[in-house]
Amino acid sequence: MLELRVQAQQQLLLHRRRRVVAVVLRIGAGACVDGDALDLAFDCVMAGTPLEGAVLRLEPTAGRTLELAALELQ
Amino acid sequence: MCGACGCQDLPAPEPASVLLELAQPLLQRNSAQARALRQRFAAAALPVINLLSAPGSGKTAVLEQLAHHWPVPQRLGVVVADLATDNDARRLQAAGLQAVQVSTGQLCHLPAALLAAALDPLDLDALDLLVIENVGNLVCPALFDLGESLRVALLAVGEGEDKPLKYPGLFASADLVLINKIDLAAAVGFDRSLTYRHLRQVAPAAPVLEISAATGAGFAALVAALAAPRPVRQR
Repeated sequence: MLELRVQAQQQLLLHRRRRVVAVVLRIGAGACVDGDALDLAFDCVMAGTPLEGAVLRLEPTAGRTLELAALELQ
Repeated sequence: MCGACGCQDLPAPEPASVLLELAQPLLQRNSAQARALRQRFAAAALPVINLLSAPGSGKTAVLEQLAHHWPVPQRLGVVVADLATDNDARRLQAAGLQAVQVSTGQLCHLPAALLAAALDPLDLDALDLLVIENVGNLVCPALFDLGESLRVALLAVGEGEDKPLKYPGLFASADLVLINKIDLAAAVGFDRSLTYRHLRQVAPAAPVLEISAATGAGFAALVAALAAPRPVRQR
């Protein structure tokens, strides 16, 4: 989550945007990440940050991929 | 300002959103720090082991027993990661090892940045081997590259023969699997063939050694496996 916040904030600065509208994460089946748990924690962890209120979309994939696939910024 | 149609009263339009296709690994910072560590270890010609297991599998006991079998225990360094206390580092120091404790606080794993900071008290050039005794956790530590040259998964008899199937990420990433507490195999009804079958499903290439940190069984083979030269492993 911390890594996600850091990367999102870097993109906000780079593109001179204020907030994140949507986050797309690509998660491999072997990545040891539970999508439901991530979904549950996302809103709590991102409260008070530029990702507050962002929609989280999870794209399942194979292997051990754990990737920030896309960000929608406004 | 327009006095004809009152357009100055309209709210400013929302800026259009922009979609960025990134495909960036989420752990890229840790990966970069792990690469730097790998280079640092290579410069010191120091093999590094990342020892991973569930809590209570016997990581510290294995290292205490390893001290009895290592040619010069003072040349065996350990970085012990726990959420709290320095109990394990104290045990290992009492066993004659160069041990430092890292408290990870709220983190359930050891990230590369914390490991890098913890190395300062150790003289890497004076060590034959560095072991990272990771936080007892079968999930998150498997995700974080620490620049190690060998990743060792430790499993104890009595944990359940299907542990490898339940935690495939960790076992699939292991270069070596140790089955500890083998002296208790009969007492807990350990099903050896089922355990091996499950290990082969998730980690077909990893060698398996059976050891007992309590009796020292299997430690000659373990020392030989750890002392064997190996190519630098990239993750």
